[in-house]
Amino acid sequence: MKKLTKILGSALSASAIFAGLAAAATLTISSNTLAAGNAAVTSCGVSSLAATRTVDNNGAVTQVDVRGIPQACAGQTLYVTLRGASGASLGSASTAIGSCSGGCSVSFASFSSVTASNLTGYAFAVRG
Amino acid sequence: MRRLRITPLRLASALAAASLVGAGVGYAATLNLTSEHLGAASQTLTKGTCNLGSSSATEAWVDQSAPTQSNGGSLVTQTQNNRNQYSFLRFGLSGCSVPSTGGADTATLSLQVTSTSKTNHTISAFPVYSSWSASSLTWTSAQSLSVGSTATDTFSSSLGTKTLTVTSDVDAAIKSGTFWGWELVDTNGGGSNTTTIDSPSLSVSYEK
Repeated sequence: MKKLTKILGSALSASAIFAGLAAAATLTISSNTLAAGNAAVTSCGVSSLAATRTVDNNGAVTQVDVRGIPQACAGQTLYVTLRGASGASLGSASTAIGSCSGGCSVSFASFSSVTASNLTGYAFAVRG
Repeated sequence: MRRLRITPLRLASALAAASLVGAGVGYAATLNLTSEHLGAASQTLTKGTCNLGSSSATEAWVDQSAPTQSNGGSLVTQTQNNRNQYSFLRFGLSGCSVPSTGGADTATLSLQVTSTSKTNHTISAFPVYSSWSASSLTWTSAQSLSVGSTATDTFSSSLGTKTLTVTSDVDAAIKSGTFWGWELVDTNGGGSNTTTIDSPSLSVSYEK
């Protein structure tokens, strides 16, 4: 009888824990945020972005311009990472994509610590 | 009716099943962390080098004392009252085949000072932004050229090889698609001096 009491006590504790988990989970399911998350994940067409950079006379990057951003991306945020050897990050920045007609463009002036000769590429992400 | 007896094995099985259900519910709840709009892209740069020698250079000098005379094909600077002489030098960057979306990582201009009357003068290289022709450039027409007010680099008038860092000028020229080179001026200002310069070359490390 004593053993059965212990077993029942353990089972009740476990039930209480899972009831808590289930309750927490259903809180999200019933929220508006989850309803929005259920919408299809779409892209505004950024699969082929390209950037150019300018340098000062010491070869330091003074500005990075990203052009040809689809108009559908306006209002979203563009993230850019400058890549060095083996794909290592040399620096990252983000900015809002303003409204535009035709292709949008954004500029970054925060990479002065990056030397152009170390730059091997760019990585872009757009998130709305 | 048969009573279901609670045994340790059955209890453990029930706990395991409950764990799986709980984990499943928890995982489903994290789906709402994804964004409604996502996109990603990448760009890989290609690096290269380009060396342009004298055969790719265009040279001229103009003489204040002969304001309508053209002197293409060589480089001379002189500082002297009413007899100043300036030189102009550029390279054909088309030989490097770098598109306007590319740029210069480094650019070095090399020159040879072959004669000079004073070795301690400073000769400055100012960027030129408007077109000129070696066959028609004169002191008079040179006055209407667009020339930068700040020297990109300088060198002394002593004999020997000089190297100037001109990265920003070449980078800008690649992007604009036009390159009008530099104006070389003896900017020492004290006393007269004549310097002749030869064997210009330009070395460019670029990306595209």
